[in-house]
Amino acid sequence: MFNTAQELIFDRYKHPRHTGVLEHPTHTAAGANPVCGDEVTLQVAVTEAGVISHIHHQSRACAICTAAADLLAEHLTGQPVAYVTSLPSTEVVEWLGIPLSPLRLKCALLPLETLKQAVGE
Amino acid sequence: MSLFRADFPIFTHHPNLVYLDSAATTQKPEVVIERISSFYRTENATIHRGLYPLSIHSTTEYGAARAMVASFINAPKPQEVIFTRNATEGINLVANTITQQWPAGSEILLSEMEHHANLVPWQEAARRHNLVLTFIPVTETGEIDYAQLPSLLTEKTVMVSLTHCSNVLGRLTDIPQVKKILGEQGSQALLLVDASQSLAHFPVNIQELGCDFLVGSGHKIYAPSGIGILWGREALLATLPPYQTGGDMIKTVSLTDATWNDLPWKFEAGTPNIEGALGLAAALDYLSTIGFTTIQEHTSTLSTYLRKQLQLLPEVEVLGDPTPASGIISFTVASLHPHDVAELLGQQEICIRAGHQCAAPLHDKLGIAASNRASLGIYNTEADCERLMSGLKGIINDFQHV
Repeated sequence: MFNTAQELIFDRYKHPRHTGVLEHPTHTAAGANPVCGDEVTLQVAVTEAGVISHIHHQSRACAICTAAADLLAEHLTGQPVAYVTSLPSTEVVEWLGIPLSPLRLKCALLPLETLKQAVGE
Repeated sequence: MSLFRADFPIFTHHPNLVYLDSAATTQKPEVVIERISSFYRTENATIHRGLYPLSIHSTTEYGAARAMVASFINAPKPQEVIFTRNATEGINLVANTITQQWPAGSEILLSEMEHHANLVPWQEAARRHNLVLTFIPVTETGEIDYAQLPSLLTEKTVMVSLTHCSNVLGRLTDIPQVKKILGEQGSQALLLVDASQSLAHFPVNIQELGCDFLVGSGHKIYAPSGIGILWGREALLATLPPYQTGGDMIKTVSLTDATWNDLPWKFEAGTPNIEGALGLAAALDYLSTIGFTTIQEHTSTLSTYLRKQLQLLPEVEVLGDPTPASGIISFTVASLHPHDVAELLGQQEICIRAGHQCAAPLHDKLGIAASNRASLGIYNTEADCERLMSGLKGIINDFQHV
């Protein structure tokens, strides 16, 4: 039996809410972790006022990476872009709600690093 | 029940441990741990230098360890055995020295399923000396394509370097067959065998294999980490320049010059991993006492059983050797990433591997980013296999209900 936190992560992995292709993204970035093969592409639509209106992810990745991407999309929609650049990695870890080994931490932070790259341009 | 499980103290400390990652590193029997401890407790002194009894004893023990390795692989002379840190260092030693003699455009033939240790050093040497790497294709079950070998051998091929047993696909390469083809093609190419995964499971006889170099790692054959072996033909080793220089590998030294020591010392610079060599000798002695007939029977029976069990799960795709005898069984689980599978199993004290297993090009060829691998050792039991199966079924079932 999965515990609550594991259930949440696998739910996001199996039934992500924020996947798909964005029609008119303003920013896109792709990230990968060659060690495990995780690949994630993030598409962001930022309004003229500098607010994130949409985030979509396409992930070919493990449960932790996919869940992190999905949670990122959820938490950051509606936020100003500046919020992304200042978002600490500890926040993502908290959303996932499980202890992460150094190896899995890399999986968890790949979407955030990719997103920062996307909006940093 | 494994007759040998009780020999390994880690299972007393972790009675629920299901250790299925021996291809990554093996657990150590008490006799090996004891040999290392007793060396430091009652015998410690450096080799070569001392004229006092303790040092003479160390030197003798270290030499005996070398002779033990030579005998284990049926090498005619102990001085053909070089102690290294691991198989990776052994391949680096050859790749960095022998390539200095080859003309630009010379070809090195590898396979698509090599561990990075038998790939990257050759890539670097090729870059440095303008050499060419070519690759024998492999089948999905881990066989090199012997039929293509003749056409891949050219008059420029100077080295063929192959795994004796893939750490992913677990299948033995027919090295005598490779040697035969080299002969039939009139190839002058040298043959290096990476025996990292075969030494613990099969009798490895360099004379039978017909190779020119062989490497292995102690920590994969129930010996400590930090000790490895490189065997090379004496006549070949004699032509090679040293790999690392410094003390012990010299005969005479002035401020401006040095002359090299004879084999094997030419390739053993500095104080070696003496404890490692003694531990390795103890491990080889332990294996020799059990005998490879028993080892092989245990490994192939359990491998066959585990593979069959895994194949019964519709969500699991088993990779590699259909009749595994090396204890190495890699697989993928539909819809689940190998890292997630391994982490969930790890939480139940079931230890398997996940990732590209230091064979990224092979995974590219198989069309997967990563895989899981269970690998058996002499201490594994049917109960271990049952725990893995039950753990896997549970994870698959739980995931289906998310």
